[in-house]
Amino acid sequence: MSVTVPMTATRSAVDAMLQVEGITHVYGQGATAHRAIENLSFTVGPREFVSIVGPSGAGKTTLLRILSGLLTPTEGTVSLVGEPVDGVPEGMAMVFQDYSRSLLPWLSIEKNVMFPLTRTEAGRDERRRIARESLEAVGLADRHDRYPWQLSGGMQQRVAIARALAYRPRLLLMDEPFASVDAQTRSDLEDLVLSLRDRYDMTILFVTHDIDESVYLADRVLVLSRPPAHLVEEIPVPIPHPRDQITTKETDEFVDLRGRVARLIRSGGQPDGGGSR
Amino acid sequence: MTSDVQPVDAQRRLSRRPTPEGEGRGGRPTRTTRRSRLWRGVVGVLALGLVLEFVTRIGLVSPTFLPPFTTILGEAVDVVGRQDFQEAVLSTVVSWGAGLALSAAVAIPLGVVLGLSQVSYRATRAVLDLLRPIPPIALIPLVILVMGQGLEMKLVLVVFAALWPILFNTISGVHDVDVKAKEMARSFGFSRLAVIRRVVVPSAAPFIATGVRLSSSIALIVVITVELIAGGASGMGTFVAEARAVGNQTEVVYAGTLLIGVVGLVINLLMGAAERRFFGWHTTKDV
Repeated sequence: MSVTVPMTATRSAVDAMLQVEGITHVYGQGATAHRAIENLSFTVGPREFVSIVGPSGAGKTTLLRILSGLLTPTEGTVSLVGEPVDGVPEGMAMVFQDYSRSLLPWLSIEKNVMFPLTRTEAGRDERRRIARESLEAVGLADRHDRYPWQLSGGMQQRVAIARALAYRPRLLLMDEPFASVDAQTRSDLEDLVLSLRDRYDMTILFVTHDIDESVYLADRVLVLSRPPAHLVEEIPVPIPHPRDQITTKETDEFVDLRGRVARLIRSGGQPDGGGSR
Repeated sequence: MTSDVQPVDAQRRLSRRPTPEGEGRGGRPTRTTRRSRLWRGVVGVLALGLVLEFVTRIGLVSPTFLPPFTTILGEAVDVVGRQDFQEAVLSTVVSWGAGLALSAAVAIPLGVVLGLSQVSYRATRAVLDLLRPIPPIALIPLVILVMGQGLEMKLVLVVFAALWPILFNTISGVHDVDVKAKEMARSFGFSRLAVIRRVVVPSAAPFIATGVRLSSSIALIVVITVELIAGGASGMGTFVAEARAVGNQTEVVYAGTLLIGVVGLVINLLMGAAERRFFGWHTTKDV
């Protein structure tokens, strides 16, 4: 991936797809103020798959809203490929947890996938071609003329993924995307996302509260503390690809890593003395 | 026929329920149930006609007050063929259509603004609450005084009456737009204006359409009323009023009244059909 970087950029910025520096976010003011995020910094490299886990209410959604430019943090900066994020950046797409609410019920599947492209310069035929290709990538090419409410939950989330793919993002943000589908569908979608990362050369930041999922998918897991959220630990996941839902999860390495993440979350940010380090 | 003035919320909730693959639209009436409903309606009308015919033929009611049903029907056929009546229908329908279109042109943009902005809604609320309860009929003398008795007078009164359902349905439709859908569009870089055009308005459109359908009935009622009592230039109301005033033609009055009802029914059916055709994704169930 070729990345153009200003000459003044530091070495770490050169390597970073996404750079988060000293983010603090406070909701409200005075006595009722809620500190959601406290001085959070991390970087995500090109083509890296990073999971973010943390106790519920740890400000994960707040963080994603800040990264996607929908919310301006109280303090700190976010840079995408060295460029400071000010407003909604180009080259970034988001997949929401609530697929049934983020798909537009008056548009067919294909039109839903074409939706973000209507902002771009692509002509109608080009938009349709990209939409078809994206639907094919998630295995829904034959459903293009259906409507969202005619599909199962798992299929609707595939449509939402296809819509993000059609936008050709360099960075894909996923906000607990599989939290409301059944276990079997979830496994299928996890493997789908891993294969799409390779096929489309994307960087993925994946927020989840599922510890197995965070380890299985990621190259690196970021564990957040209870609010105000800060980074507790970064855990690299050196398990080779391709990964397998059954055999990967049986390996000692996987079991060890998921135990580490689970202990960190349970202790809410205090390193647990008896951990299997 | 389509007495589907059901709570709008209920429709909404139904539409949110994911329908399992392959099952199609849950609870949608099939062609056969709709046809049998039509038949029941026809049977009901025929039965009423028979009763009316019977009570007049046996002399229970004087034909001066109520001519036999078959006489009214015959007279109606005659009236439909008369050129002055055809012009009256045209005039009424044009006033209705123009009034409804004007109402929509005023109420929809206003409703979108008031629905999106709490500040503007609170600021205008008192004015709206003050204007809304005024019966449009009560404005007839004032509007005639200011505007005379032409089409403008009719239009002003129609707009004043038909504005409200569209306005309030648009406001609640815009309130109901899913925050997640708006956020999705913003996350793909759409500007605030584009989000309004691409997400807010389409999402509120079924509510707006319901408002337009409700307003269309009101608009017709007001057009006919104004024609009857204010004697506007021409129209079906004027036609009936003149049949009463000139020559005491009871059958013509009945026939005209019946035909006004038919026009109202046709308009309702067309509006209902258009709503189902364009907003099937929203009203997955119609009662």
